[in-house]
Amino acid sequence: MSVVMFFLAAGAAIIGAIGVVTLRNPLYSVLALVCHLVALAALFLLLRAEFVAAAQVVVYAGAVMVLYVFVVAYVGGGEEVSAGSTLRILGPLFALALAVELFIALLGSALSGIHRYGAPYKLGFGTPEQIGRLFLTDYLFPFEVASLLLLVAAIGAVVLARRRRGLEEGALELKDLLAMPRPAYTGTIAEGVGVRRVREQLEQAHGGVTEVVPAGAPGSEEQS
Amino acid sequence: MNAHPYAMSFLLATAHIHGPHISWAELSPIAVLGVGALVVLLVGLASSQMVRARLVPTLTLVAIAGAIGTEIWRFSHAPQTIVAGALRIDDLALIADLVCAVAAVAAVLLAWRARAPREAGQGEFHSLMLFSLMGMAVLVSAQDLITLFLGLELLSIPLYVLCAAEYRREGSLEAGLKYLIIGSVGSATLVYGLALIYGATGQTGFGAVAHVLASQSGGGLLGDPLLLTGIALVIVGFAFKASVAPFHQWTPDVYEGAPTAITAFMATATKAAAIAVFLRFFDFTLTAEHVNWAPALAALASVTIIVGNVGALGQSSLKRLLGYSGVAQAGYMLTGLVVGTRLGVSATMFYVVAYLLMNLGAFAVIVHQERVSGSDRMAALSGLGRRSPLLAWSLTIAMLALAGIPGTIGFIGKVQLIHSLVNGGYGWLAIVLVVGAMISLGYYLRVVAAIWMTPADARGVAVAGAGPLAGAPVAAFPPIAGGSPEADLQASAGGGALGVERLTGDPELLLVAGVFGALCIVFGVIPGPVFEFVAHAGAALVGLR
Amino acid sequence: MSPTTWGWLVLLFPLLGTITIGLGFRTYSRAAGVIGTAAIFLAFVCSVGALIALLGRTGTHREVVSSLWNYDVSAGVDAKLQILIDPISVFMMLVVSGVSTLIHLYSTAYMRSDKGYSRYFAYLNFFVLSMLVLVTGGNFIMLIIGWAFVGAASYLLISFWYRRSTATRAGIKAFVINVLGDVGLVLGTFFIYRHTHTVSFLGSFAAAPHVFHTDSPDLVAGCLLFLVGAFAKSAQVPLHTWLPDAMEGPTPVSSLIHAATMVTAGVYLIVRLHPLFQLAPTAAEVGAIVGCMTLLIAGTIALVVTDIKRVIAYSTMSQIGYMIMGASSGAYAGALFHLMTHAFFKALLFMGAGSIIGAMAGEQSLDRMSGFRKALPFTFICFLAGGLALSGVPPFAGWFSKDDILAFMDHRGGIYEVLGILGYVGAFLTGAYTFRLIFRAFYGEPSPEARELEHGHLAHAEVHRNPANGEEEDTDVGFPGPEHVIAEREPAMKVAMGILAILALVGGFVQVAGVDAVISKFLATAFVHTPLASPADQPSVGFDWIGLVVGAIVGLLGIGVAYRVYIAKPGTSAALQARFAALHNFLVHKWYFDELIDVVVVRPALTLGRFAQAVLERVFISGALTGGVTGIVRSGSAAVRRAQTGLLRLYAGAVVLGLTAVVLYFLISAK
Repeated sequence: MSVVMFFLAAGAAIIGAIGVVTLRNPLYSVLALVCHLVALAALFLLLRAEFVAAAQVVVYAGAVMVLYVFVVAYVGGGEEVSAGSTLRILGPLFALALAVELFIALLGSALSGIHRYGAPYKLGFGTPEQIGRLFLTDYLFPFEVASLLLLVAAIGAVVLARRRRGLEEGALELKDLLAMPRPAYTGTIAEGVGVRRVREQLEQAHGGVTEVVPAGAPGSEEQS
Repeated sequence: MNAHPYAMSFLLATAHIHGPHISWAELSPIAVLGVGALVVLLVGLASSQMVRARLVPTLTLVAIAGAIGTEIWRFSHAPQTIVAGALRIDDLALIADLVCAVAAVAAVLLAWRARAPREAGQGEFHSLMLFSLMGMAVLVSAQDLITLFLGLELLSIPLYVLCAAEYRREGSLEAGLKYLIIGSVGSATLVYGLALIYGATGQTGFGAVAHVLASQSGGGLLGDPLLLTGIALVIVGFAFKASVAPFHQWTPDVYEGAPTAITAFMATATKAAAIAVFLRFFDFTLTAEHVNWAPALAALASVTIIVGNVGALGQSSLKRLLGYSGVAQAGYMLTGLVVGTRLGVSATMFYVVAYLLMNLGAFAVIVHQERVSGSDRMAALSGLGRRSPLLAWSLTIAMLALAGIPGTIGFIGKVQLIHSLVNGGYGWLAIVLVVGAMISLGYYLRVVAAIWMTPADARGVAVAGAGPLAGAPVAAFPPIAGGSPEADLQASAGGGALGVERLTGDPELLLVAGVFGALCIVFGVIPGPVFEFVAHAGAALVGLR
Repeated sequence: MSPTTWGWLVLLFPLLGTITIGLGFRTYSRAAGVIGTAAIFLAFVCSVGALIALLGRTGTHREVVSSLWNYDVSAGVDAKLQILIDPISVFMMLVVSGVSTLIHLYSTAYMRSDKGYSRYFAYLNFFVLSMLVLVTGGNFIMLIIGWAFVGAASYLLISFWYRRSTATRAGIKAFVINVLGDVGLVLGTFFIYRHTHTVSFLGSFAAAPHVFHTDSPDLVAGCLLFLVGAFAKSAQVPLHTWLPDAMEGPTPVSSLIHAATMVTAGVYLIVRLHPLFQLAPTAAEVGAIVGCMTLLIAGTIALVVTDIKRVIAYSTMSQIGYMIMGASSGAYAGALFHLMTHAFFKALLFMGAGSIIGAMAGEQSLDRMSGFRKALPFTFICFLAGGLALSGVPPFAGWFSKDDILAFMDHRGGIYEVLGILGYVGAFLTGAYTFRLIFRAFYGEPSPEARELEHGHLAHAEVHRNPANGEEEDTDVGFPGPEHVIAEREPAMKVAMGILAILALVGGFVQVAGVDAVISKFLATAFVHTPLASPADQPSVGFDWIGLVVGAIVGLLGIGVAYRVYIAKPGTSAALQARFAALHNFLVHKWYFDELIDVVVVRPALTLGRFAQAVLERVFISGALTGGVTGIVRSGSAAVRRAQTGLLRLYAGAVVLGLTAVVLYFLISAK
């Protein structure tokens, strides 16, 4: 029974994870993530970690995912900028190669773990008490650092999201978007995809400017 | 069943919980930073502009100074594993802590008048910096896989935000975003690797892992694909933070886009922490696997040296150039790790210290340059030698030191690395290092040339006046024969080519540039103290030859 | 404090001076002179401290080594940042820092109106630092560093007025010849290191008797190479041609570097390495012969040169010839003694010349000077004191020191006796050219400038010209500025010259045969293992005094000839010139050494260079070697930058690729 459950949950987790990265619609992606997280919760249950499983469902699949859904709904999907054709072919190839390697690694040694019973079950394992006790004894330091990490994340969010004084609408000028002419291959996203965006914005602003020199035209490169 | 098991365990728990012993003395370097970060964050909420702009950075400096003080206090005490095996405060950790703290002091000074802290909020900016510093301290003293990962995250997450601190500048935002995404890939790789190592050994403590690998029963584990894959993933995860090629590509972009003070901090402190944890993890925890990981790291190091140096050629932005140079220097530092000897550890830490001194001076000059001319283009440096000799000398010394010219600390550092490589049987890697250093002259010297070159317009005046025109008024023409730079300076200043710009620079920049420039030379001629200092690091990793 | 602590302090102060002046040269223009002088004075004080600390010790305890840091790395070379404080180095420290202090003081006045005032002092302090590194260095590495540094400082100071084409050319010439010497020194070090396996002085000296037998080929080769270094630095034939040209530098520079200190480095080198030269008598003989040749050749040239500074420059070469000859023959204490007294009186003569040049508004030709005796009374007295000391007239310092060397050589016998007698011929020449200089500049009908000065006005040239080629120059920027100075009106110059004049008079009394021997006794511990320094090898007191009397007579004879030619019968000089036109021509062309070097070295080298440039450089190196390598690097650079697209997804792609490769490697290495 538990073996069947394991394969079901594991399969669901993998399918969910694949769904997150392959689905084009952000909302579907989020839902796939929910599926993945719930499957993980099931795996936790199989390990008799009921509390962790519950927390997984309540916190991640519940609260965090709701937040995600809200954000996606609020911001909207946005236009996807397609990758170059080479990468579209090579990307999956690389991923496949890596996946094969990881499978070799896992199958090469750890399969012995599957047809063996794992660590023995101890009374009270997976209970809130046990977890709380570990947090206050063996993992006291990581626990405290993790709490600081959350604080840092909160500060970071505030720094990035808060409204800045003097940043009124329209303060962003087109020349800011164009920035300075840069040599080729100096690596900004703007150079890769932003030129097109800037051109569109310029066209909207000036009613159809036809010629924009790309920011990093070859030849402006520094002598080497 | 007379009692519900849950209630039972609850009773047991309340009865027997004893928190681990916390040695506050050992923990103090980390604790001081954490408390400092919280205090700074709170003070940053003050309504007075004066308090925010002056008190907050000052408090930050005080907190870092406190950390430095406790680090010096704990230095060369017997190493101890504290807080239930989470941390080990030894000399390797303390040296790395000190390097990071010095970098943070310099970064705070460089940010003193900068735009980034004003935009991000003084309290937030500085407390993030302190948190990041604390993350480095946790990372380098981590003695457990979990602490290691948390330290890395505590180091990285504040930096993601700090990179984007100049929110209204597109480059800064882009740098933050890039760093976040690529950094997350790195973190994910690392945590996967850590999980595999845990899976293979069943342990999370470094000491326990090392013990399992070294023990008779664990001997069969050495060729275990699971373990080796874990090691591979960990290498890649660390390589991200240390910007080792081919995982370096974020480096130039992020260095260029981030506020320069943050770039200086990242370039020096993050690298020091990453190299230190590299050392601890590979030369202590996985030292039994040396035969397997050493060739891989050697290959990565040589790729890094070549890619970094070759990429830096032809860069026109100084920050970008230093980004590539940082990649190459990371390659140099890795070489000392590869040999897996005490000598190698000492040489690597020596180079970490040298790298700190060499880069901070250079970044101070870049901050000055950005304030004066609005860009970090190399071409804008021309005439710096006349405008501000102190800064010009600092940058010159920094460049020569990075290139490894004798008489500077960079030379001694490279010689130490080569020494350890030759001793450790990696002579070919030493050759790669030297070839890399040779290529690097191609760009470091261009910077030096740019500093001391006369600006084009002033040169025009000098050439025009070079004819044999006796009796011409001196104000209009430079003297005809004989003279001195001083006279040339007056002549060109009279021509209006110079003199409009600030002649010197902000005092804190001059301080940073001057101090670190001078130290590059002082320790280049008298490296003894630094050498003795870093020798402690080699001794801290037990079990090394 | 231990002697070595004082030794490090001696090095520290000039270093601080260089840095302070160099970095803040625009902030404090006038204070640079004070800072520079104070730094060197403190170095002198510390040298005295080292002396006192050393006097408190005896025997081998007087040789103290201190290392700040061991550079000992890969190859097993025991390279250390190391100083050796022993009687020789303390003696040199005292001479160098003491004379340098006075010359710095002199310069504060002399260079006052030069626009490059603080740059000048930065260079000058750097020079003193380099010289002190040279003399305190405890191993060959430090010696080579100091050796190269003084060469660089000398270059900077010769070309100080770098808009003078003659000055830059002279600087280059000096530098090239000095580098030849550096190469000799480095190669010589290799020859010694190959056998002794140490670069430290004391270690090499201790090992040398065990690894070398007398006149071992490698040892002789090494010592000859050291001699090449010594000859180049000390302007000995045939590597002497740079020294007269080096007079393009400011006069105090000539006084400090090209008379008192740097050019004597060759003497120091031989004395420092005396245990090696003792084992290689062949090399030592070469040194003695070359020294003797130089002293004669330079003495004859000095008889005809008309540029006042160049006369003194040739005289310097000649006097160093004595020292090299003495040091090579084994008269170590004598050579160092003469080095000291020579530093006093030669620095003094240059300072006096500077004062006259100031009075002549920059003119340096003896043909235009005359009759300054009344116009420059103080300068005259000082110059006379220096001249008498140089000519070896009793009881001036040069009399004791020069004859210390010659008496030792005559006593030693053999070829050295011949050389010693030739030394007396040189003494005759010395008296003649020195007093030719004095009689022409100070006696006779006062020149217009001298007359003007007698009326209380300092002459000013309408148009300032380069004394070497007559080019017009702007004094607003240098040479040494619009205002000329004379010692009579400048307390700083007066003090410096006065002290040196007194030293030129009394400096010899520290070592009078049969009375006292301060120098020999102080230095004795350094030469304690040297066979030639044993008391039996020293000339007796009576022999010494015979030498002293002969030297005095010969010197006075030279002065008498000069008196007869220039004062008693003023037309004689022209008559002699006409009579011996060929000889005069030969001497005026300085024995055609420049031309000889041009034909023998420069032209073949140029031809070879052109050929190499046309064939090797263009085709092979630029085309194939460099071109290929730079091509690879360039394309590599382009590839790396092209990969840096700025697109995150491409970066991520690269990451995955790298990750795959790393994991693949580990999987392959797995069992």
